[in-house]
Amino acid sequence: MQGATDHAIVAGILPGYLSVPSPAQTSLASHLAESTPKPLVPDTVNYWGNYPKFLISLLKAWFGDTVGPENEYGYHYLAKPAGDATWLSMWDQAHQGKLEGLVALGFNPLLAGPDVPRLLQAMANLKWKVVIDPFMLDSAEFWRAPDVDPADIQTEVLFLPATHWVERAGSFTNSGRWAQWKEQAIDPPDGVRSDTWILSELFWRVKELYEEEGGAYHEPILNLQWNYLNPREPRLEELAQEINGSDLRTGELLSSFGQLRDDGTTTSGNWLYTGSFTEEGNMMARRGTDDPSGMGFHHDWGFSWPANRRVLYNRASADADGQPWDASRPGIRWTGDKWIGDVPDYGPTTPPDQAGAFIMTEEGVARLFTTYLVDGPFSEHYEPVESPTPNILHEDVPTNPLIHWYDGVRETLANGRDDYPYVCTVYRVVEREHFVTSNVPYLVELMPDFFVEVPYGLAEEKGIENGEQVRVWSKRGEVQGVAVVTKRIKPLIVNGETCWTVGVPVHWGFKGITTGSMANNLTPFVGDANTSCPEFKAFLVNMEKA
Amino acid sequence: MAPDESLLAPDEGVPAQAAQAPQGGLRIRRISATPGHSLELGPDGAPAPRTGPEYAKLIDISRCIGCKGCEVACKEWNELGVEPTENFGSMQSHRDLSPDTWLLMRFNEIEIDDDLQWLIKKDACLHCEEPGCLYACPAPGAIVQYENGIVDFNQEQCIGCQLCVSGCPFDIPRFNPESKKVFKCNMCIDRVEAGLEPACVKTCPTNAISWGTKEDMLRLAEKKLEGLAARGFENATLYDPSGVGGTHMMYVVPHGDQLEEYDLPADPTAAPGALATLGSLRQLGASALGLGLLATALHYLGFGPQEPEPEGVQSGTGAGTADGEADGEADPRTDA
Repeated sequence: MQGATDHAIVAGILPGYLSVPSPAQTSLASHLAESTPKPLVPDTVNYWGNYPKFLISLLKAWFGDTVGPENEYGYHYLAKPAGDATWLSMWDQAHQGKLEGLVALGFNPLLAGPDVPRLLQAMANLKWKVVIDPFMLDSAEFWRAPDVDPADIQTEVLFLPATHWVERAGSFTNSGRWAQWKEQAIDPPDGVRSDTWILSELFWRVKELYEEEGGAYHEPILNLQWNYLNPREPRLEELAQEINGSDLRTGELLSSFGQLRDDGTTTSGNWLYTGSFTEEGNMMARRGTDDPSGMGFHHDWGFSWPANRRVLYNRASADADGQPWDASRPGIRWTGDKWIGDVPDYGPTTPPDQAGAFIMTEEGVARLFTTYLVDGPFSEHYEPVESPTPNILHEDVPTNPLIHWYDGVRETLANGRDDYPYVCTVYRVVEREHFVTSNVPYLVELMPDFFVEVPYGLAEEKGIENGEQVRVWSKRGEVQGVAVVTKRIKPLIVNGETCWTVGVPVHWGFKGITTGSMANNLTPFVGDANTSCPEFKAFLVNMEKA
Repeated sequence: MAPDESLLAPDEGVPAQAAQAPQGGLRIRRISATPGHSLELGPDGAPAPRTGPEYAKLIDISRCIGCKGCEVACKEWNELGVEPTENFGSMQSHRDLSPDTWLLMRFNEIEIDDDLQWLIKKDACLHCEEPGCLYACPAPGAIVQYENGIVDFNQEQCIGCQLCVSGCPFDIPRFNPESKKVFKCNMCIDRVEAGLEPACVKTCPTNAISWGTKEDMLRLAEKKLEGLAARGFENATLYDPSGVGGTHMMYVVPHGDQLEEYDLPADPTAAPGALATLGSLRQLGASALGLGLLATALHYLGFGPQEPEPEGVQSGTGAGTADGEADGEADPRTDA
């Protein structure tokens, strides 16, 4: 997940958390001006001040010699979407019939998003859908979902069997930002292609069509750099080198993003990963176990962005004089002429009093409030859109007023708790990983069936015995599974009333060697006002013995 | 392998040294139904002093998060079959151990002084120093205890009588009615012999399972108990029951006054009674027919009529196998 986010799988960002241009940013200069923060105090590192170097190096990595100062480094090749492309907005477009097709790469959207009944309607509106995955997913056979009549669905679905990660090399980035290279473990089955082959073919066939037939705004496709040993299937090492970036004057791989320039003489597919594949080799493949500091930094193991730094903001682990706040657990330490310990936030010889401790903020200090939140500057308490209780802080504004309401969604919400008296929450279990583990026998053995966790007191009240089947429904859909009656979920007393919570795990669908109810049948099609992250964690349901 | 120092809580320290791999193969300490086997025995029939390291696994129940990664590691390493399971109202994967499930995390919720405790116990063979299964076994060579403490079943010699099942004070061995053989955890003896830790130890993400010499593990347990006491677990205890001579899988139990809630018998015992009986029948010992009769008789007494597989009643030369093993030449285990 960390690696995918770093490489811009999240809507609204380019690789390395650069900004997607907006339509109002009609020139590179205006985009850079609005995206490059200015220091608010003297003596602050304000590292995002380097934004132009990162963006221009990215454009040079993508478009090579075809871009330069004369055409704003290809800035106009970038899409400048007016709407957002978040999960909910995308499926809302499909729901409205405005989305023609969709490519799902290594992803099972039907089970992953809220309000599956709504998602099914949205998917049925697509003319075509491509699913690229090692497994035949629920999303690839969504017409087989329970209560769906295949005759009603006209969508053409193309399934492209792709390699699993054990069948190819590559890297994983863990949530501590360590990029670790791995080798291919087994060969893929016959007829299965790598993602790189599939995406290259997609690229080449679109490009060849443009070359044969012409077409509106073909430059971004025709000028895209594709300089690989085998241009129909690049090697992952080549992609890793491209992501790392190089100096176009010497042709050498860069070793640090400190070397990036904004004059078109450097490339980098993702500035955070510069230093991960240098002239010295693939830093992500390192397996040195030395840890001289004893702090678990392990600088010779893999590569940790940024700059092989193991702890972000490590300057904040030391006081104004550069001495560790906790001497028994030093992050970095100023010796009088240099920093030792982890790779320091500062330059290795920058004295501690030269700048604020938080190098990525314009203020140089941590923030207690921010202008970057749409509902800021201070945080505020809002109830979930389906809540068992009024918001006692401000009853007239119980929920976040800046939530985006998609058409028809308000009608899918419970009105108070009369019909839906219990809070429900959706989660994962440690034995399983989303949906792919439905195909792994040993893991299915560990956690075989869809279940509903029911608090002990509620089970008593409803006459539900442990191990019995129960049915849980929201205003959107329902699930059925084994009741796991537990004292681990305690009743909450909310504004003086007893409030019961039931829990359902997300790992089941109608494909794989274990099948069961889809938890997201229950969840509301509503996202957080800032991130659009769906409200999976708190909504209202009812429950009975099945 | 000593536990990774970096993963221990600061107050736990680390045992003195890493355990060494056994040199020159595995030496047998005890062997079922074979009094007077080739190893030198003391005058009372007790095993000779050890010549190599004695290993132990230490389960720190307070560090276990119940992920069951150890269950999968066990099945993968030992190539155990996938069993169909069902959720029976618990996070526990299987209702019970089986011939294909040698390790089961048992889950139990209890309330102590209104405080909910979610007890998760790793259920598998404890590898007793005085192994009740081995003492009960009438089949020569079907159960062996190595010098390193591991108690291992040799299915090739097993006659399926299941006396080991009744001999085990912890209810661990499981009979496969199809193969007519009994199975249990072998402490990944093939890994241990190669100087590796058992698969469950290797895979545990929270370092709840430690591996090393018994001495080191006892020392580590002491540190862990001190840490638990400091955290208010005044009843925390080490489970290493003396009634079976101590075990080679030990538990650090946070609620040591609630052993029954962990399904840990408070006072398990095992004694070489069956072995002594066998000793008095030594004249029969060399005869396959005699052992077969004995096994049948014992089985009949314990379980009523059930014919052991004819091929199970073989090998009057179990002791010979053990000889080879004792010389460090051969491993009597043929599968598992």
